[in-house]
Amino acid sequence: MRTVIQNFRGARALVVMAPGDDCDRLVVTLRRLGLLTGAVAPGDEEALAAAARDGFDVLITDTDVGTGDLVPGGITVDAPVIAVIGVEAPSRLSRVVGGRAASHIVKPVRASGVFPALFIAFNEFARRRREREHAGRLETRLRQRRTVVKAVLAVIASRGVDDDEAFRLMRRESMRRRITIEALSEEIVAASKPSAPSGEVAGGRS
Amino acid sequence: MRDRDLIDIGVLLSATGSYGTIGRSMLGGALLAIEEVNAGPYPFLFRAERVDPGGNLSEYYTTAQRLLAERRIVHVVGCYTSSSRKEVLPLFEKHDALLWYPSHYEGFETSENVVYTGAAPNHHVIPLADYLIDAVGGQGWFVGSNYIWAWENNRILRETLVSAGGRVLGERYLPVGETDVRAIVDQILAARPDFVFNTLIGESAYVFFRTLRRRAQALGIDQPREMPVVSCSLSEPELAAIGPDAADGHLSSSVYFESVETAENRRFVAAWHQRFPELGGASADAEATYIAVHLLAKAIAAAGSTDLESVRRAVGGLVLNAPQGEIRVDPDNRHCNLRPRIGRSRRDGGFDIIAEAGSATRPDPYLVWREPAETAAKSGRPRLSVVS
Repeated sequence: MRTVIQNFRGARALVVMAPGDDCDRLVVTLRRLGLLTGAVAPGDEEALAAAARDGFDVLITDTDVGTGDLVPGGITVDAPVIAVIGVEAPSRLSRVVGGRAASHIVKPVRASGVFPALFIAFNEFARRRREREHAGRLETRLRQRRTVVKAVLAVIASRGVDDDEAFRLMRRESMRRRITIEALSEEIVAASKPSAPSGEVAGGRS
Repeated sequence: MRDRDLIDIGVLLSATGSYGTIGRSMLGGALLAIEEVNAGPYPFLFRAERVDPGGNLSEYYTTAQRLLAERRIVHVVGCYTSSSRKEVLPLFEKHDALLWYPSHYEGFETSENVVYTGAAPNHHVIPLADYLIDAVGGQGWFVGSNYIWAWENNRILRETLVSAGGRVLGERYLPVGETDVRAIVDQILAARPDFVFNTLIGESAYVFFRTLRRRAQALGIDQPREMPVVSCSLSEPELAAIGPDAADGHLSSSVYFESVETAENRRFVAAWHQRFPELGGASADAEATYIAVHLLAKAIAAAGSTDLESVRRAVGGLVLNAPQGEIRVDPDNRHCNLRPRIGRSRRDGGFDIIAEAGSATRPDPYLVWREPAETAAKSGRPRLSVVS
């Protein structure tokens, strides 16, 4: 089981909310929980861009104000987003969905509710990041499938075995050398080109 | 001298029901402090409006409703279990009232409508975890009442133990009030842990202590020496409820024991025994309730008003010479600076203090400032120093 993130001390929170009681209570509560917190007003693109350049670990943004994307254009967000929801109309809530908020806080902001929102957002974001990396690895392997097919054909040709046996040889060799079957395939394909010397499997040692 | 204003304060405590032993002790603390406030120099008198939910969750809601909605009371001293506090909190928010919560609890809350006068987790379970790792051993067996107090303390202790190379050999929960503990006791005796971490409350705990001691003796096991029961809540009146045959040799992590040596505590203990000879020793929760009432009086005096906002502002930063030593209300989270201690129980129903922090510790209800055990060991985070 992965460790759950439960302490947010030192994390940088960027709050996009109009000045007022809700914003004040939110900032006080975040600081109490050990987060370094800065707030900018919605629509103040200059301040937002400056704050974004400094970097942040969580973006907490008011969903009631503005139209279009929940996360203001022009800034890149590689951090969890928490939506602060007042108006419950679908036009507002669809921005929450579109912006992939990882959790939310309901207005009026109270001291209770902020810690759970952080807890869920940080952990949900960490999980999404792991899933994204996993998907990236799968895509790479999918792209490399053509190379694997070519390598299997090369081994069939050089060793005079059927495709099952060719693949078995390749898997054994990749495990022995602790490389992926895709990486081994690239070597075999490169080695089996007419001008190149034979690779290990294609060359007959195993 | 003009007549003093009469201020009604609510006292919401279960003097009956499965944790009535503690409830009566807390009620004693409240009444003693109210009498002292009324005998003091304040321009007002407190009048207690007492309700007894009998340890029954739904009764907490209806009795709190009566205090807040019908009687329009703003300040209520009360609640012992966290489940009861969570049950009544929405009412306090709705009616702009302030709950003076006088018990140790598991933390992870900072309500705008609560002043917390008991220990936060960095005052009890964290110092206990450090002490266990340093002085007792890393193999624990956890038994608790099936609610948030036990769940959260077990999580904190489990993570601390595991990060220090220790292990949890077993973990079981019983419904609040359950007294059939034999199967669990037998599992514990078979597992032979270094210690048993007890988060049972009330009757369940007392029966557990007696049963464990009796069955260990039958097997020739020196239970207090070989596998002490450690708790974050065990107090003097509970030792009396356990009875002399099984009262000794248990460790308790607490900010107050009757044996604390301060001038203020000597006065408090003398007053306690004179006023309530039937209640046994003064407990940490009695002291926290006593503190709550005195802080309430000071805050109202400083605010010049009883309204929520003024009193809430006035209570932050208040300092009180309490029986446990000087305490202060943290203006940021309205929990208190308190002084962690470890006590070992005696057969006569008291505790010997065997370790204590050098000074009062700031409350950290969300454990924001707690370092992981490894870092702490390297940085030499101050541990409780052994005093006997």
